[in-house]
Amino acid sequence: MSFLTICVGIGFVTVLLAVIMALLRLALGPTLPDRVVALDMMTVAIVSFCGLMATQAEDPAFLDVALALALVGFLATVALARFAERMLERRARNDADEDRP
Amino acid sequence: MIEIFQGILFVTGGLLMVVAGIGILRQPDVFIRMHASTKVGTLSSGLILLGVALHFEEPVVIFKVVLIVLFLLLTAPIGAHMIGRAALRIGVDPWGIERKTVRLQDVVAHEAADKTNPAKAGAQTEPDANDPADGMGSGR
Repeated sequence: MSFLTICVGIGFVTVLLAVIMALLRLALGPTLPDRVVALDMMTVAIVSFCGLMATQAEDPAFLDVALALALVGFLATVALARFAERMLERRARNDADEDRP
Repeated sequence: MIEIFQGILFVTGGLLMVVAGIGILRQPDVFIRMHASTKVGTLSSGLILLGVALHFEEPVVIFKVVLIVLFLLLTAPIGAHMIGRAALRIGVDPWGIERKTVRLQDVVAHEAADKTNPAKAGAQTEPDANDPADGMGSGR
């Protein structure tokens, strides 16, 4: 068992620990922005997990997975942030429509 | 020799990722949690991907790693800004601060009401003239 194998193992364990903590925040989070932040953090952690997997499997193809995941994760974050922002306006507009005779 | 450097990069990146996880779990507020997830998370994934680039030593892999790290560095501040603005507008109170001004959700509600009800617009927009939310709404 070489030095690099041990280090990759430590990296796997620590990154998975971070993913679990972000998952806890995703489940606990009191508001919607909390959950979006936790999801963003999970994406970044899984990107580095893909890097570690590429090292362990000696296969650079996992880096393509990491690249696609980074792209999709950013899109998800932006879409959820826009959704949270629009939700308030939509609610206000509905209230205004109901007030009108 | 390069293997030892690479292992140090992996372990450092993993430990920083745990720091980011603890931050996102234990900080009191969504605005403070964002610091942990964007800054520390980007740094630790950058370190781990640098270790991957050192492992393969091929131009294609190095190009891909540079692309991923560049993309993460570009998008993390944009995403954090958008979530932070959305949280402030929804009405998440910043930790340890008493709101003394008009609540931002009331301002947004007024803006939406003005758009749909132009007749009442004159009286309602004037109290909000000194509010910091006025500049943020123009980008939409």
